[in-house]
Amino acid sequence: MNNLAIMKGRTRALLTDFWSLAIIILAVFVCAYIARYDGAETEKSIRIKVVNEDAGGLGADLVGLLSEEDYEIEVVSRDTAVHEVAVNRAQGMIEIAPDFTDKIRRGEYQSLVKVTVMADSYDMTYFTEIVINDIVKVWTEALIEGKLEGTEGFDEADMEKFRAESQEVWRGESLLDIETLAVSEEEKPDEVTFYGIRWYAVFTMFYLIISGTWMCDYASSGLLRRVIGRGGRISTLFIVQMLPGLCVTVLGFIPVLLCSGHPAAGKMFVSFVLYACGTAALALVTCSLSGKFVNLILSATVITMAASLFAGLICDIPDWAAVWDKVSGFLPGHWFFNAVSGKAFLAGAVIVLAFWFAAGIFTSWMLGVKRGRE
Amino acid sequence: MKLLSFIWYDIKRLFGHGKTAVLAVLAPIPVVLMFGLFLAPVLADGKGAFINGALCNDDDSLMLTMMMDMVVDYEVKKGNAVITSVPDVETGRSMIEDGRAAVLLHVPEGTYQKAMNGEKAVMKFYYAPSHAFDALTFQSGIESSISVFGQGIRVINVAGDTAGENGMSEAEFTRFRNDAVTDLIGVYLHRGEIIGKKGVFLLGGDYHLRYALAILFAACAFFASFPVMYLTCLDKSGVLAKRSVPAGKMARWFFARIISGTILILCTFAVMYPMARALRQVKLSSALAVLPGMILTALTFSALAVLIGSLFRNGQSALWIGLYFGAASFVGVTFLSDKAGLPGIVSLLMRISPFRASVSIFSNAMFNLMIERYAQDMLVLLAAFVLFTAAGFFAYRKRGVPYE
Repeated sequence: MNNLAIMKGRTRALLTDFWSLAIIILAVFVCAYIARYDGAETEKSIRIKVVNEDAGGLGADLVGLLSEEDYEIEVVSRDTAVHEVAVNRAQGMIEIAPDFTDKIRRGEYQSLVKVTVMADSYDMTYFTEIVINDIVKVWTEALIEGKLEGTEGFDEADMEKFRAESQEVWRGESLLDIETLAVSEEEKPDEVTFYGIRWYAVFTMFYLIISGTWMCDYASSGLLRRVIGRGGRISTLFIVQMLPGLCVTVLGFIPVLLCSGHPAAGKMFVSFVLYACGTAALALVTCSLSGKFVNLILSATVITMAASLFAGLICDIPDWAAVWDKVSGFLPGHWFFNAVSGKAFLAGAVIVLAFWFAAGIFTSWMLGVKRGRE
Repeated sequence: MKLLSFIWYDIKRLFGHGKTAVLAVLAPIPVVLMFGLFLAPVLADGKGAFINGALCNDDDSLMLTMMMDMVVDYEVKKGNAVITSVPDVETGRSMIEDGRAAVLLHVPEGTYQKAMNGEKAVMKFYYAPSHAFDALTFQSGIESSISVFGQGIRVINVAGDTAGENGMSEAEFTRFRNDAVTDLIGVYLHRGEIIGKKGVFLLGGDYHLRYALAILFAACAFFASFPVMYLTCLDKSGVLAKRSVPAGKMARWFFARIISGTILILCTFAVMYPMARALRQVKLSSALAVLPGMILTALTFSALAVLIGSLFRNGQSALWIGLYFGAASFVGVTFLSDKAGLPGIVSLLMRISPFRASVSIFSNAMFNLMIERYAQDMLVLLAAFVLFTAAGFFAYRKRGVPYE
């Protein structure tokens, strides 16, 4: 087999196959964008519709308080609110009861509003708490106003002064506060971000695994059949076929790395090359075991997600799951994550690369034997 | 062959396609399990309660002790929490270190009196790092509500000062303040009733969990349609392209594929349901309530898979498109669907996305049914199903008919 000719052919095919190349181009753009704006403030804008049926004035006060929260608040009719929530133009609605003011004036608090929340967003978790807190504020103020109204010598000017001061209090800090402390022997290290780099590594794994789709084609004209027929090695062919894709992912990593502003760019580059090689070897194992293209697509998704999650590339591993940090040591992503975090990675990455390479040679040999018998 | 025979034959082909169907159906298991592992302490500890905690109350004021007792008693009775009273902070901390408690709330001596005197009082909330997820959710709820309670006391003090300037006597002020604080405590202890619910904290604190679970449901269902895509493409470029197939049989073949694909996707749902139940106590009755939504989701994804499979001669190209479509839908729904201020076209795409409608059905209807939203999502899915089926049939026939 002329390996050089195969590699040239593969490079040509890679650069002209839009669909397979598109994923890596897209990954570079998305990850460079993430790397560039990692940690930047993003505007959250959950849309909430308010139906204010209150006959008194306190409903409007509540709307005013809600408008100061981190939500896009709009007062509409009930029909409009229901329609907007139904067609996903709003994530929730608050219906202020017609007797909202009356009830509060009487010191009652039961069923003052009805809150309908759609679980359409991660940002809805504390929404109900915030609504309740704002109602408690209105309720408290109204309660005290009611008590003050009966006080001798208390006129409208005093009431205005009290209202202005209480607004200051609601905006200021509380007299009761809670300090949160983790019970741990060790100091918690700073959270590692660099999500652009980490998520590019995830994309790379997926891309490299599905780059081996040619191994799933065992038709009479397929490369795999010809190689086996001529007594060639699948692993050698895999390396030759994988090299162009590997180079493309490494080249794609450069803009992502530059955008991320990682302080140890040189080390990161070395660690990524080792990660990509280790992942390519893992891809050889996956491709050898998959058999069919559709199996490869399904397993590529699951393997990428599982391996990247356990290695800490998708998101930080929870503190309690420290055991994963050790167990994931056999994955290339573990050592890449170590490099991102500024920990030692070289020896581990090389050993893992050797391990997966050996596993790849073994599984591809098994595949050759199996196909040879067919 | 009758349609039923076609369906039976197609199911055998789809499920008998080596390990493909097994992979498609079982793929959600590791994904959902990994998601579940993040919540393992929440699920494993606390005897089914959301939080397992310790309380060290060093404040001997009657009012605060009564308030704490009422809150703890209610949350324990409701099953939200398992609370153990401890004599000192060290005992509570050792309980956390031994894994017998996830959190410890320490109320220092004189907390209530300090707040009453207008001074800042700080309580301490200790948590085990292994319970960061549930503990910090609980802490956020308790902190925001206590903070408002503390602000309420400040407002009462402000009112007292203003009244004092107008000649209110010390005795009158004390009575005024005690009355107001008692009322405030009353509403605080029943704050859930303000919105017609019961409880003090954690009112709807699991929306993100429901949302993530629904996204996983929809994503796994979509991935399960990949074998349908691939097999359709193989048929189009193989059997159907080479043989003369009458139009009637072509239609039966087409609908049999959609139905067998639907059954494959429904199998995925069947696998996911027990795990969803383990993660977030989904009642069987609630799951059954969204059964029409599940069936329509499966039908729509199956029709989409057949459409994509019919559009391409090459199975790999069809899968690439399926992958891109799935990834774009997943990213869009996860990160964009809740945002205001999106460009009009993106906003419209989000609203009519069958993937979004499917996620919405699972995250909302299964837990808190709003019939208008459910009906709208069903309509979106139905419209998508009709559209995909019509377009798919057109594409399906276009390749097969010329050989008639």
